[in-house]
Amino acid sequence: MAATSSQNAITLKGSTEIVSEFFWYGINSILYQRGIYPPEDFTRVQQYGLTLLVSSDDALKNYLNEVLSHVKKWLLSMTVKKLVVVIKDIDTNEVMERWQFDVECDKTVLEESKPREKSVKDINKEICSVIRQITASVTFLPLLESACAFDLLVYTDKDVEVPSSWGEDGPHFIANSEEVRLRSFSTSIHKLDTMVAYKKTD
Amino acid sequence: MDTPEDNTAVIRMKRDFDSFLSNTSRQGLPRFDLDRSLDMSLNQSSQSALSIKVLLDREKEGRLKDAEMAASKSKILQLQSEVDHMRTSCKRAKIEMDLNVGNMKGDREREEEMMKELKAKLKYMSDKEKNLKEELEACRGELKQKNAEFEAKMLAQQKEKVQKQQMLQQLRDSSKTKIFELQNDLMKCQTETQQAKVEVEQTSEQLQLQLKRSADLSLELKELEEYRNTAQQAEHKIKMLEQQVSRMSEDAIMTQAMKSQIISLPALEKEVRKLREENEYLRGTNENNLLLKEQAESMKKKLERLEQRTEEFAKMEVENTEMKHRLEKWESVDSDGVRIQNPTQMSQRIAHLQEMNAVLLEKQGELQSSFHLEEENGRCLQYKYEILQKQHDQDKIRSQHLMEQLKRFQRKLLLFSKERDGYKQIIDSYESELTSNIGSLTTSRVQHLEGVIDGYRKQAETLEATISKLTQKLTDYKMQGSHKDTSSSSSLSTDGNGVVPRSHMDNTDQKIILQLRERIETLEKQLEKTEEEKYILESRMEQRHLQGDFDPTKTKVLHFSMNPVALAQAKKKEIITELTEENEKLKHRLKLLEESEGKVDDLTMQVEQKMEEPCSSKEIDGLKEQLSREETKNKRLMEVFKKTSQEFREVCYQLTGYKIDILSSNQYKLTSMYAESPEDFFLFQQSSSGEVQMLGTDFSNTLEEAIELYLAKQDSIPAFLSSITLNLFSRQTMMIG
Repeated sequence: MAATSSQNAITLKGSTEIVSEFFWYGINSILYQRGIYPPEDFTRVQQYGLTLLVSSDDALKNYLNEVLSHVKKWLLSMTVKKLVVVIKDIDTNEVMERWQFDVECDKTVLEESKPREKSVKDINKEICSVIRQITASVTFLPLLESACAFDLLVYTDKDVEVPSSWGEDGPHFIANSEEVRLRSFSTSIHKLDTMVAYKKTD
Repeated sequence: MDTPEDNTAVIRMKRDFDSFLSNTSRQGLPRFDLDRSLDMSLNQSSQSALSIKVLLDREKEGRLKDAEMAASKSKILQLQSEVDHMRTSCKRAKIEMDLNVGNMKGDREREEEMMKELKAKLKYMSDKEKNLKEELEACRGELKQKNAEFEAKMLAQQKEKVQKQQMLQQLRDSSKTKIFELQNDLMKCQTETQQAKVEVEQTSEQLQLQLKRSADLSLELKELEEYRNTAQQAEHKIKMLEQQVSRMSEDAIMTQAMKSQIISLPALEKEVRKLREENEYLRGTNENNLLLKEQAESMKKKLERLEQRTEEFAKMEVENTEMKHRLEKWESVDSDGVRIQNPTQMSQRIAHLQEMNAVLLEKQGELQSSFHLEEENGRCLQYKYEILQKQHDQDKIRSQHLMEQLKRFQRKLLLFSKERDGYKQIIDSYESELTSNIGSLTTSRVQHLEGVIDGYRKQAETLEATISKLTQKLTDYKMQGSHKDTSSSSSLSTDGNGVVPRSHMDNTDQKIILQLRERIETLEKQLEKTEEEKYILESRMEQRHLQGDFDPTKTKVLHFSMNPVALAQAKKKEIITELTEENEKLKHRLKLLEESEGKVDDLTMQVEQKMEEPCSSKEIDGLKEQLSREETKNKRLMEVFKKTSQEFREVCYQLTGYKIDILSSNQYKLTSMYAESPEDFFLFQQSSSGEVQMLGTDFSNTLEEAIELYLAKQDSIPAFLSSITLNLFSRQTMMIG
């Protein structure tokens, strides 16, 4: 009984873990699907009942870990609002795509407060459908013809201290964009809405 | 077993034969002896050891050897014969050889002779060649001579040719002149022919004239014949006329007879006239008749119309009488008894009535205003009535509430009474069972409880009273309401009978209601609009949100400064700078190679050196720029200078009357303002010492007097020039004068 109850209870810390894990796999999937990094750099990993591709590039891994560690902190303090994967053309510096993950935090929950009731299985199911949609979105997104790189933007509260080696930046809007809302999932503490905006092709 | 022996035998025989051949004369036998001795020694050595068998064998062998010997001897004989044969053949061969040798020698001698002959021939040939060469040279010499001759001849011929050409030219000229002459002749001939033609034409014209004349003559002849014919005809006619004359005389008699008849003709004509007049008269009467008929018809129509008029007139008369009656009535009868005798009175009356009407209208307005007031009152009353109704509703609710409370209290009361009964029973039972002491206690308790109950009762009563009061109030209100309803209805019903304000009030109410409804509608529309706007704005907000918009006052966007985009771009920049550097280097390299045509030893070193001094090229660029600037400055200055110099020259020309041009360094050309031709100019030269000397020109040569006077004697160029100016000026004015 104890085991099952612990599996169905979500604490703030656990929710943060789930969300950051989702970020890790989601960003990796986007990078693979959109061809930002060569496909031979990715290795297969079983997660959420899916075979996902995760980069084995050390530099990229370090970068993602660095960013996600800060994001985790902000998730715990509930100061993060959005995480955006911006895909830009290297040559023209034009924003081609914006993958936006809106984070809605239940601010009533504190670190010591009672865990919420939601089974990890259900959450994983929801995450699975989101990642499936990310994978499927390749069908309608325009082909990225030029060499592109990505950047991670984190929307935080105004009063958050900017860590060293981080900087403030613009939102990197797409001038002429089309938006598609994808599925969302909730850990009952953090609710994540996924959407993608991409440059309209003429 | 036999074969080896046979083999050896054959070999041996061969050897023997060879030896025999080689030593035919000297060592023929001893060899055989040697063999034999060998055989013998062999025999002797083996003799002691051999038995009889061996002896037998030896005997056999001896025999065999004998046989062999015999055979070999025969063979030898054979061979000897062969040898003889061979010798003969050899001799033959030798003889043949000798013969051959002799032949060969003879051949050789012949060949040697041939050689000698050939050598001699060769010598002869070489001699010949030499001779030929000499001849050739001689020939060449001759050829040259001949060539020279030919050239000379050619020249001569060319000369001849030229002469001939000249001749030809002359001939041509002469022929041309001849041709001209001939052409002139031809022209003359042509003119002659033309003249002849003209003459021919003239003659042909004359001929034609003659022909015409002949034709005329023939015509005249024809006419003559015609005349003859006519004459004949005339004679014929004359005869005919004579006959006619005879006939006419007959006719004259006839005419006399007819004349009597003709006299009666005027009378007949008169009759005809009369008859015609009669006819015309009759026609006129006929027309008159028709006119009369039409008039009659028109009269008939007029009559009809008049009849109608008369009828109408009769009617009118009747009407007139009627009208008169009416008028009389009208005049006589009047509401006020005032007799209206004319329209002015009538109009006065009407004015009076209008005034009356206005007064009435005023009254009506007053009434309406009072009606409005009443309406407002009604409204107030209705409002009050509504308030009262509301109060009444509230009271109703309150009364219901109180009723419920009352019921509850009654129930409670019932319960309490039952309880009390229960307690009383218990107390009774206790009383029956227990002592009086306890009984007193219980009684006191009972009393207490009864008091409580009384309190409850009182409360209940008060509540009931309030309920009744409320119900009364309610009924009152109801009554009031009904009364008001009735009053309103009555007011409505009594609308026509002077209680106008009530209905008016209703109307205004309705109007207000309508207004309110309209307002509600407009408000609803506004609400819809605002909702739509809200929806649009929300959708827009949603879109903005999707595009990643954020509230900059609350949120900020952070990113890791060493993100992949920045890295990629930095890398790209680096690559570009590297490439540009390399490009520059390669360009320099190429330049160097081009300059030295691909022969550079330490190319890279030189390139690096060049790369290290990029400032030099920059400096050059700077200097170039400066140079161009200076050039433009210079140009501008030159332009200004030119302008001023032009002005200066112009002024000089205007003031002194001389235009000064610089032909070359130190040479000046002066042209006077009054010069008669552009070739009239002076030339002056400034020497190195600064002296100005005059140079001779065509113009100056004509002015020796002035030169003598001013230059030679007084040595003053200005005076000379001015004198010339004066001279020329006077000449020009003279010419104009």
